[in-house]
Amino acid sequence: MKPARVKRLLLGLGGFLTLALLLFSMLWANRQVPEQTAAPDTAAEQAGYLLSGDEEARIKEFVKSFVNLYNTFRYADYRNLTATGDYQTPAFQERTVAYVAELERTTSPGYSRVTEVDASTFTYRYPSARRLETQVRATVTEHRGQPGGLDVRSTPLERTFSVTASVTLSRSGGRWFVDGISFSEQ
Amino acid sequence: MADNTQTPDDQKPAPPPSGVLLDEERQEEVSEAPTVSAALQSRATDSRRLDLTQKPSAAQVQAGVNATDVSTNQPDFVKRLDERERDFLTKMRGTGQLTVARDIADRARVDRRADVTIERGAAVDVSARLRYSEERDTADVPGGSGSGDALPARPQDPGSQSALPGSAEAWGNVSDGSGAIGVRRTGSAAGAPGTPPPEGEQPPTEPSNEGEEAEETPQEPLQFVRREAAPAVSAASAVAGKEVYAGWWEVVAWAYGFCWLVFPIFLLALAMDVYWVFFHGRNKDLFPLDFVQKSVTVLTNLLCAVVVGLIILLFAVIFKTICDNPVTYGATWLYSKVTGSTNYCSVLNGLPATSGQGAGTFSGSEGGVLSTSPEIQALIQSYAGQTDLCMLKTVVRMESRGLPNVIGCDCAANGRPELCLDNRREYSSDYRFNWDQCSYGIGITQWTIYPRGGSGYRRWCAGDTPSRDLFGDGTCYTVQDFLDPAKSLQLTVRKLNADYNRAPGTTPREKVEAAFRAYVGQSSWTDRLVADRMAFYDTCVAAGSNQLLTLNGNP
Repeated sequence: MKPARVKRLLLGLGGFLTLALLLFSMLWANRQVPEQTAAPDTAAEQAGYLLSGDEEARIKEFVKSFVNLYNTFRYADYRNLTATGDYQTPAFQERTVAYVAELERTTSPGYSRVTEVDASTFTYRYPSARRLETQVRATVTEHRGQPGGLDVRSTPLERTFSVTASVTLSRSGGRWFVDGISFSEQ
Repeated sequence: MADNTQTPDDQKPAPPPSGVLLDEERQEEVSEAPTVSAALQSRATDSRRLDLTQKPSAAQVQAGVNATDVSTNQPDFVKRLDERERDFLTKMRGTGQLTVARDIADRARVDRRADVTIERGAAVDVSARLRYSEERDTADVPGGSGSGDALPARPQDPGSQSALPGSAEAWGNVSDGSGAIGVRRTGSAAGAPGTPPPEGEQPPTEPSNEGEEAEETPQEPLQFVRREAAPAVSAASAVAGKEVYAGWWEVVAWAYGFCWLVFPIFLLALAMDVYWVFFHGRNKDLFPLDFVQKSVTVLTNLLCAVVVGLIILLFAVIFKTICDNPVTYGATWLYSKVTGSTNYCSVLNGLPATSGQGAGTFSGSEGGVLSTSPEIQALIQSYAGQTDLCMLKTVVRMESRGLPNVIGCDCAANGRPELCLDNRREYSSDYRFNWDQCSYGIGITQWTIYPRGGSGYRRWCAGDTPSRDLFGDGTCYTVQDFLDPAKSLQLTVRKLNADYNRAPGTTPREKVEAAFRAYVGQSSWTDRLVADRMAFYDTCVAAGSNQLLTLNGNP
């Protein structure tokens, strides 16, 4: 084969490979990514991850103390919520600030709330490596109304009820941070 | 003597000029090459231009060139060619590198411009040649016909052997002292020998313009423009450049064809860039780079960028897979823990890259509005080994949320906020204190200064300045002292450790609880405050960042 022909052939081959690379890049960039948050299809995904014994104990203690602290406050004193900021994701910190602002606006003088978590009710779901969904049951004791209020008959001063606290944890840097919390009264 | 008005058909191979010896092969080439006549005519044209004794051509006359005036300067000019240059030009003729010879001739004339005052006609001719020499690399000037056009035709490819014959008479003219120091190969070399060039290929406007300019300044010495590159080097480079040009494409072709891998592509791009910048940039003749070459170079660099992007994407996918998997992530965490190196999975998530420090917080202001600042985290961490970091952190976070300038008015906490005079929580120099009625918590750990007129540990120790002797040792601390976070923390650690060590508890947690109880003081809310602090402490410990206090060898 003549050198000139070889040269043309090689140039053509190089051009073809270049175009193929570009085409591959475009296809890769535009590929359809499966929805990761959709219902798991495989058995492995259904099973999710499992916490080790030590890790589960630590998480349980963490969730228990965090819920106790986060849902315990009194009128004009919400430092428990903000003090735990170091264990909240930045997004959840923003929600905490908004929540405190709402409490400052709506909580009546003399109101207090104390939460006690029953750690034995701790359950979790570990759908992905970075996300852990936990639930615990807790007993909430509310003290309503201002001491010496006018109508003590219609509004009991103290009320105790059970709630289920759902705490979502997000893992970063080898640690868990609270990314969401909700309470549902039972 | 060549007649510049001759057509190529009239040209005949001229014998080598006297004084110039051609080997047999060259002589044969001169006599047999089909382009001999054309070359000779070309040579004749150049001779007309350079042999200043010749008569002006019709074109010259038409262009206003006074050949007679030119001829008057011919002997002086010829004398200025030294023997060395003649020998060199003769050799160049033998190699057929007409362009080389012409360039050298040009240089010779340029170099002597200070000595030679050429009359108007010659000035036109030579300057046209020089101008052509400047333009020949880029402008595709139609080949001259030897019919007296002042603008020389574009020379043939320097490497072409067909240019050889044309040099014979030309160099004969040089060697015999006729003054024909430049050689122009006419356009007929590329076409059929003896074919008169089309009229359209003659550039009559240049001479005319030159002639007009010359008439305007008839006695003005000719101003030459020196070429940027040394002509001799440039000319030789131009010949070799053809080979480099071919070699460039060979390398590119082979690299693209058989070495199409990531690494060779980078090397190729690098080599192309180096060639462009350091080689072509210095010698455009030896290292040519035309538009297509430049395009390929640019595309190759772009291709490298694409490859880099794909590599980054590949690594990102691998990285994400590793960091998302608990086992592999644990391996990275363990590795960073053992080696003390950076955990890049943490970096990927914008978290502190090192583990085992502080309380697992987000770093700095990027961590969020409620996070402890890096400075305060560092201060707390500086007490590692001296106290229980979670105990210290609990005090800091629960008392002030880590804000060093916070001032709390206890009158508000006790249900009488109207006495505080100021609702601001952040300290400032104009903070309105009610020292007669209220106590205030100052700084990052909310050290309390009691109202004026207190007794015992509540007594002010600095006269009428709000102050406190914390440990009863005569050291007096003021508001400004407590607003210093480093000093406040130091005092807090001292107190916590003292309370911890004398606590009656048997376990560290019980001692911590006792220390908290001593810190918050006695009030109706003491139990609640202590319970909250223990909840925080447990959270801190469960977060995995506690370093248990080791005091008196008893953790």
